[in-house]
This record gives sequence, structure tokens and C-alpha cells, in this order.
Amino acid sequence: MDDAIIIFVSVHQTFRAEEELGRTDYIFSVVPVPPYVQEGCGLGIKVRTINIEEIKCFLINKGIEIMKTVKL
Amino acid sequence: MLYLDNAATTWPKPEEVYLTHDRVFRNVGNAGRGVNRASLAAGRQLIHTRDSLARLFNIRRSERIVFTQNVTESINTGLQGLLEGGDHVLISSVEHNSVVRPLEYLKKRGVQYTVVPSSKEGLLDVNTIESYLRPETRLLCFTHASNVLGTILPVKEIGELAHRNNLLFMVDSAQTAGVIPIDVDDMNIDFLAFTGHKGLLGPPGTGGYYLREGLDLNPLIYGGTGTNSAMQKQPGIWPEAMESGTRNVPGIAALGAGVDYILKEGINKIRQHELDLITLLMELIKKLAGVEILGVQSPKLRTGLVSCTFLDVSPDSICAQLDRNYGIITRSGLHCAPFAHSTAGTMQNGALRISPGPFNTEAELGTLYKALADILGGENKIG
Repeated sequence: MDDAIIIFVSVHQTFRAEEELGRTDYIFSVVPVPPYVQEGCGLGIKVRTINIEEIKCFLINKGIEIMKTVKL
Repeated sequence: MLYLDNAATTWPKPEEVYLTHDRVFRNVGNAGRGVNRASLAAGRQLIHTRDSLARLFNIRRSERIVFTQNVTESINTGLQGLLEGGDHVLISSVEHNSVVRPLEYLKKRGVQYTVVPSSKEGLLDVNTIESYLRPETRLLCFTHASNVLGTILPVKEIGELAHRNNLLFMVDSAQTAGVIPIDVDDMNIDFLAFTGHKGLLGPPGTGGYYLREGLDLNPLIYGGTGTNSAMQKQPGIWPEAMESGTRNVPGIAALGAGVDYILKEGINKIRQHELDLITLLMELIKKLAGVEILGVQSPKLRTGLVSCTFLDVSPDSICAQLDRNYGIITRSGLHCAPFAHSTAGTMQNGALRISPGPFNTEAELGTLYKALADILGGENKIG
């Protein structure tokens, strides 16, 4: 299992992602984006998963705009 | 108090609106300002209200809804953010000062506007609008209904005209949102300005606008959005890019409760109640001698207000007597819409506006009728 932070284009999109992930069994939490990451809205969603691409695909299919993913 | 001034602000609100405001005001922080639980809770309140509004107006992506303090701020943002020097705008002859005054200001930047004349009742022919188009016309900006005459404008037909001519279409929904169905896709609306404290049943200090996807405008206010803080330039991502400064989170949450009430009750049911009250109100007023009702005579072509003038008495005097002697709240004057009064021929004395709301009853209109009959000279003056 790896930890990663998914970074979104806006706070709105972050909350939208939180809402969608809340309907799944994924383990996640809303966190601040680390200071060394300059992109994004300041908020991100930290996930623990063996397949980050699966979560990204899930969110993209829900119409959510992802900016980037940072592995921890 | 018998409150009949719902066109100014609705009162009372559904109980859940008061409860939500109190709960959020006591427990929630500042939206988009950190990752603490209070801030996140505030952010979730904003998204809930945005989503509820998106359902009500058939907006596909709720991030295209921006919260402001009121519809005037929304209209200012739209007009000042969309228009450039050389642009020409068409408006109706019943527009509120919230449209006219920003356009007067924009004349300094080279924006021109033309008032499309309507009938004395406020009826507007779409063919007339078309005849006023110029090559430099960029925007059609029309109210959905007059706040003085009550007359509903043919927004769907105007939207089709705008679409056919590749023009932007802005609608001021101050008197209709929450009571008359609005579908931004079906009506081809590019910019919808709304207020929270009237038909949407929220508190004062809330409002907003919708801008169609693919369009952009300059913000009216620049500053902290809680996002991209390292950037000196204003972020470009909606909705935060357009919401600099702290939002009124308790108010917006309470607005969400008002919209949820409308969605639960059903807008058609609310509109039918309004129609029933307006129909009765017009019947009662017509029984009074020397009273003229402004606007169209068919209730179905009106929103929830009736403005009238009196043969021998000023509207201000009637309004004051209703308040002082009977505890009945109405509004007299020009209602910030001198164009509408010019159209109706009532610029000199204004009119008395009576506007029932979703929680008024037919019995209360009976009480108003008796008070008016009393003021106007008793039973002998009743026609």
C-alpha cells in the first residue's frame, strides 16, 4: 500500500472528490498540500491504495478535474 | 403585522432557514481557509448550496455558480466583467436601476445601451427587440419580470433571439427565481443573476450568478481566494477565482435551506399558490372604486405582485395608513425602477405595490381589502 495526495484544480473540485469517495470503500482524508507542491488549490486528498490509477479513473469518470498526484 | 412586501424581501422564511443559519453561524469556520474541520465544514456548506441551486436552475456544473451579496452585485459583475468599449446592449423599458446605473457608468468606457420600448403594461414583442439590434450589439440584458408592473417578459423567446444572433443573454431573476421555473439551457441564458432573499427564501446579503461554461469574465473584486496563495495574479479557476474575500457562509447555508425547501415543495406548487393569491388580490382591488391596477390584467402573465394607483389619494398616503393604522406592510414610491414607472405613466406619484408571498393566505388578502375599503371611504366607495 502506498500513500499519495491527489491535487485538484479548485477547492470546489476537492470537495466534489471527497463527496464521491465518501460513497466508496477507499480510505482517504482531506489534507493540506505540502508546501513544496506549488500547484493546486492548497487542499488535496490523501489516499492509501495499491492502485492510485484506479482512484484517478474513478474520479475523472465522475467529471472531477485532477491537477496532479504526489506520492508520499 | 400582516406582511405583503415579499417583492422587497420574503418574510417569513421556512423554519429550516432560520435553524440552518443559527447552526452554521455557531459551529462553522471560514470556507477555503485551511484544512481544519471548521473550514472544511464551511466549504461543504457552500458546495451544498451550489448544488441545490444547480438543480433548481438546471445548471450542469455547479462551479459555474458564484456567490455574491445580492443580485445588484451579480448584475454589476456581469455587465462590468463582460462588456468592453464599443459594445452595445439592449435592455427593456422596465429594468431596475441595478441594470440601468451600471450601464450609465459603463458609458465612460464606451459601452452604449438602448432601451427597447414595451407597452404600457410592460408587454414586450421579441420582433421589436430584433429591430433594435445593431452590428455592435453584444448583449441582451432583460429582467425576467418587472418589479413594478409584475409583467413577465418572454425570456425563452428572447433567449432564442440571442442564440440565433450569436449574442450573450443576461437575465435578472430578482422577482422570479424560486417561484417561476428557470432552465438556463432551455432559455439559452448565458448569465443568470439571482438574489437569495426573495423567492429563494434565504437571508439578506446572499445572492449570486451563473455564467455558462466556455465563457469568462473579469472579476469585480480581486484578492484572497484561499487558494494558490503563492501566486500574485488572480487564480483563474471557478468558482474561487470569482469569490475573493470571505463568503457569508451562514447566509449561504441558510439560502441552501431555502432552495431545498423549494425543491421539496415543488416550484409549480409555489407558483400555483402565488397565482391563486394574485388572482384573488386583483379581483378584490377591482371592487374598489378609483383604483387602477398597473401591468397586464391576466394573472398568468404576472409574477407575485400587484401595483396600483388611486384616483384622489397618493400611494404614499395609502401605504403609510396601511402600516400605521392596520399593521399591513406594503411599499410605495418608485421601487428603484423609474423606467418602469415612465412606461406605466406613474413617474409623478409612483404606485402602491402589494406583494404576497408563499406563506400568505387568502384570508389575509381579505383583511387587506377591508383596510383599503376603510381608507378609501368606506363601503360607499366600493364599486
